Amino acid sequence: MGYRVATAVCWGVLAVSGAWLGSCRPEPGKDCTEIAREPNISPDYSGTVIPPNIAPLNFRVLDPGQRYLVRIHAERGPTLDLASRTGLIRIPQRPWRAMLGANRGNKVLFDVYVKDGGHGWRRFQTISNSIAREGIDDTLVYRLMRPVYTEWNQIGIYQRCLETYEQSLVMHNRSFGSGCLNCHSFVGNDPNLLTIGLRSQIYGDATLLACSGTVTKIGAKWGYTAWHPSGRLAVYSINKVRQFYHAGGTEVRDVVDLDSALACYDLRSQRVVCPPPLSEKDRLETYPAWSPDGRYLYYCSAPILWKDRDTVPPENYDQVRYDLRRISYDVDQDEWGQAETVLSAEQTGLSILLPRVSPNGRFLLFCMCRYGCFPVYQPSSDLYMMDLSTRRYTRLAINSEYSESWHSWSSNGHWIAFSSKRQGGFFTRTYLSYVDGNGTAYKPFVLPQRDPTTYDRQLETYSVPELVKGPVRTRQTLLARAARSEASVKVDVPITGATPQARRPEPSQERE
Amino acid sequence: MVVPSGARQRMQRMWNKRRVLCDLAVFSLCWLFLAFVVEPNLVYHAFGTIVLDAPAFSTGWSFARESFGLPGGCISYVSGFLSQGYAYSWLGALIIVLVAWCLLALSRWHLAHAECPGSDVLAYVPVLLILMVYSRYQHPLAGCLTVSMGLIFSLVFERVPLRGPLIRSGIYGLMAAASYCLMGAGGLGVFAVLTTVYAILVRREWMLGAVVVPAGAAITWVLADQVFHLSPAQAFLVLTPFSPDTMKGMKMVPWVWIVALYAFVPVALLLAASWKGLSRRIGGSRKTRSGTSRRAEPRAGSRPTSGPPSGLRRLALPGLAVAVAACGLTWSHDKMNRQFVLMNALSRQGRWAEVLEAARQLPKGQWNIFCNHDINRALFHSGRLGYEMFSFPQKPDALLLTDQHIESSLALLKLCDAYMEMGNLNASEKLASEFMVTAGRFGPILERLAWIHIIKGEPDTARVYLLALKRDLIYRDTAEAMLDGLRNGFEPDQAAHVERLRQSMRERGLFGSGVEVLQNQLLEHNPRNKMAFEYLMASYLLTGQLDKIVANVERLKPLGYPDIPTHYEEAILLYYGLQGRRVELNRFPIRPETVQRYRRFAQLNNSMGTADPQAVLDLLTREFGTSYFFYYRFQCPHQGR
Repeated sequence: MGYRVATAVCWGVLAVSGAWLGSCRPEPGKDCTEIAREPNISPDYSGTVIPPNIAPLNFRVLDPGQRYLVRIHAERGPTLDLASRTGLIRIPQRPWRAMLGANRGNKVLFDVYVKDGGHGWRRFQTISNSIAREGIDDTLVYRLMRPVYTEWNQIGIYQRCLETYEQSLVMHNRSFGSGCLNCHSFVGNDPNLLTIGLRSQIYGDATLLACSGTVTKIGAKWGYTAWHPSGRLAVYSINKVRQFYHAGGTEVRDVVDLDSALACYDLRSQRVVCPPPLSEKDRLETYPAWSPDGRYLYYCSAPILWKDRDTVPPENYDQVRYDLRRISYDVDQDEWGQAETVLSAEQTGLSILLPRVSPNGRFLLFCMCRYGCFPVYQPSSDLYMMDLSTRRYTRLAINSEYSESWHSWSSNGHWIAFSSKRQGGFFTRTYLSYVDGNGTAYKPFVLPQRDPTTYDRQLETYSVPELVKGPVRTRQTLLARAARSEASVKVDVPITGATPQARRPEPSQERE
Repeated sequence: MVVPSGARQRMQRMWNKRRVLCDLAVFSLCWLFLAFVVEPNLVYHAFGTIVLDAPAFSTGWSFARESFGLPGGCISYVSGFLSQGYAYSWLGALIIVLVAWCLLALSRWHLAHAECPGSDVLAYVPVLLILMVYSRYQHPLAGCLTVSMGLIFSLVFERVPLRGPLIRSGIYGLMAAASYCLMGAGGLGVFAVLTTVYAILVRREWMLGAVVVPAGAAITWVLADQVFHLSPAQAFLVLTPFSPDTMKGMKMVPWVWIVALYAFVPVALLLAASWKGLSRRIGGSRKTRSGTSRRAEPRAGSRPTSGPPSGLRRLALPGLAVAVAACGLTWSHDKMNRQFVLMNALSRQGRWAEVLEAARQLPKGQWNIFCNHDINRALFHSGRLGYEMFSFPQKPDALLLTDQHIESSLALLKLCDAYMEMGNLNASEKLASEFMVTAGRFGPILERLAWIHIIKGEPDTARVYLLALKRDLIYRDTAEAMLDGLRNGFEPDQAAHVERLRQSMRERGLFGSGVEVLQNQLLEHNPRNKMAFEYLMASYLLTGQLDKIVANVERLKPLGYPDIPTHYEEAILLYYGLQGRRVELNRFPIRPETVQRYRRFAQLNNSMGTADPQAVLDLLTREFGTSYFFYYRFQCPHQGR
């Protein structure tokens, strides 16, 4: 008898609880006030094109209220109803993934309802985002660090699964005495072949080459690196880079290459050569990028406008503008052709930097800024797309009034990741944008986070985002040990004006 | 005398009660000493600068995850949390006292467990060490917590009832791994050494004793390599007194005390256990000869069964200990450093009148470039820079800390503030950001960066800093107020301050100029930049450039000065005097009393050749020691000869 009473009581409690919980879910009902605008949400995930395999776009409704309801729906599949008392909307991953997967090529719609004290429910205009048919590479690799001036401390290279929110460490600078980590690069979008540049007062300057799980330490510091698609050689920059500071203006920092050149490292022979067209004495060469067929190397080149290659900043530092050039290369014969100018600074009036060719070889994405070699420190830096078949280029509509730079392509050529300072001009965040077959880039969206307020207070910047086809599986332990070891590959770098001298490392590519 | 067990228990309870009361009394005194003599609030304001440790703390999971992802992360997290309490002296003193009490209790347990004679009094040694380090204005909290955790782990391990050697070795391994993760190599070291001493000298567990230290080292190496990815050198130093983070900027004496803090209990145990073993051997051979039975050994923490000490002994020993401690604390209290730390704290809070008051209490001949810098700022804010600058010792490098040899986080922070006040915002931003790189998300720095970006008209960036600052326990209200200001407008005085700095903000140019070039550029941009003007004139005074003083006097009226500041008058008189010319009083309305003083000074100065020079110098020092005349004649490094 007592048992039955107890059971009845339990069921009764459960029923009442369920009814109460059910009553907590807001039901806007028919008496909603329609608001003729979209809700203010942060981050801005409206009117974009999103990959079908992206993690949920959690956001916060900024319009004031006491209760919030977001209804997410698409052409196929069930509706997701999400309630909140704070405006923070966290979308469950599995249903979201299912919805996107079932609706490739369609739209995903967000209906946002807000209830405040005296006015009942308000319904805003539906937020609409398009789901692309093409997915994005599932891993993004980037460097995360605080804004650096002269000193640095914590720098890590991280990888983030774009389908979830999982972020893990590839390598951290504490594993080799807080040296500098920079210039991570991949062959194509292959996570199995990776190079990372290091500077360390204790363990020396070097490059780690991680290839299919093994790590080699090359006794030379590679700057900006581009791997030939065959994986047989890499072209990298040697930069005599110096930083200086502006006493006025938004951006305090500035960077100049007092000298620079490109060198070529052959993986098999482990030799470095500096082909003459890529290391002219009176020019600065940097930012190499291969075409996907490996027949051309694109790079940036500018005349040296100063006689004194030690004074910082040099005279006419703000007149330096880089041309976009390319040079042909025959990988089988190991022969370089003639260099040609693809686009000149004289034509554009701007400095052309960071060329990256799309995987199908049709488009060239680059940035241009008022002067100089370091676009992330130039608020004027914008992204441009060139159709290589016609050599016509356009300024992308996705730019902001602040710096855009450090772009990379996904392996299918339909997504780009890039760094932007559009959230106020100081902190760099990673944005993703869809590119269609005509080279048009669509409204970008910021890398989604589990906590939608992450960027509101994150003091670190995201630097050099690279899309790769899978996680980097090289173990952190191997990378750390290699960083602390003696270089197993000693290279003789031909001496140029850009060859770094033995001195305390200058903060250079550890910049954002 | 054999005491019945019931009575023994009563005696034990009475003893424990007396001990607690005694501890309470001692720690109350400690709290008073810390709260009113040392003032942990001063240590708080010295974090990241004079005290190079900048224990950061931020609410939220991301900071916790970040902290716990490193060896010793637990200690760093808790130390960071507790350190925020130092913002209030009473609370900081309470925290220190509680930590010290915990260390006392643990030390006492271990010493009594090893039957160390005088354990009750000896257990106060770590407490004394902590107080002595704090009285030197250092911050050993992380070390104290590390030692405490090491002692706790050892206590727990000793109380594990399982006795099989293999099982105990296994448990030790697990605990060693946990201890490295929680408290770094420092805590594991304390735990490992204590375990070795107990195993070999107390319990005769030879196998365990042999493997403890090698196993601890191996566990450290494996965890560092596989989990934390640290170099062996870094791995074995985490939270030890030998790590660069502990040693940097710390003077030798307090550092030795910190080493003693780590080593005290293990060494005391080692000595006590060794002595006991030796005594037992000697006693055992005596027993063999005499045939008497051995006395039962007392339990840990209990009084000897012969009864409580007599009244006089009961008071004498603790009394002696308190007297020794008081002497130790009096000797160790670094009064000189206190003045520097106090001035630093006052200037950080903008309490300028008190900065000058503290400066006047500095003993003569004691000079510190940072104090000099603070004094000049205080004089500027009090409107007295041009009048009383030479009432304090001065060196040209102190004005804007231009001495190449003093690059430090203290210099970064002070210059950041000075530059911000004079409108050199970009330089201020650079310095603040560099400070943050080394000190972490430190509340005062986040606040400064927020203001910098507000003044620069970058509210979105300011908001990021403020939302990060909201997670600081002490600065969250400040952050909230500033966010409210961004949303709804600042208070009139704050808004006026922002506007004034905005008008002084440079719009072009590069870094790397000297003091005078910088001030001139600021004045070129905004001729009403009073701080730039006064610092420019101060620089001219300090370097004896009399002609430039004279050339810039015409700026006084537009800047609203009612008269020519005294030191400028003195410089003008010197300028004309050295050229043998009369001062144009209609151009330079110098006060008659200054002219009279100049004449007197000149007369005395000229008599140095004929009269007793030392006597004349003494007279000049007495009458003119605080004047520019005196500085120019006897101290100016560049000119004035």
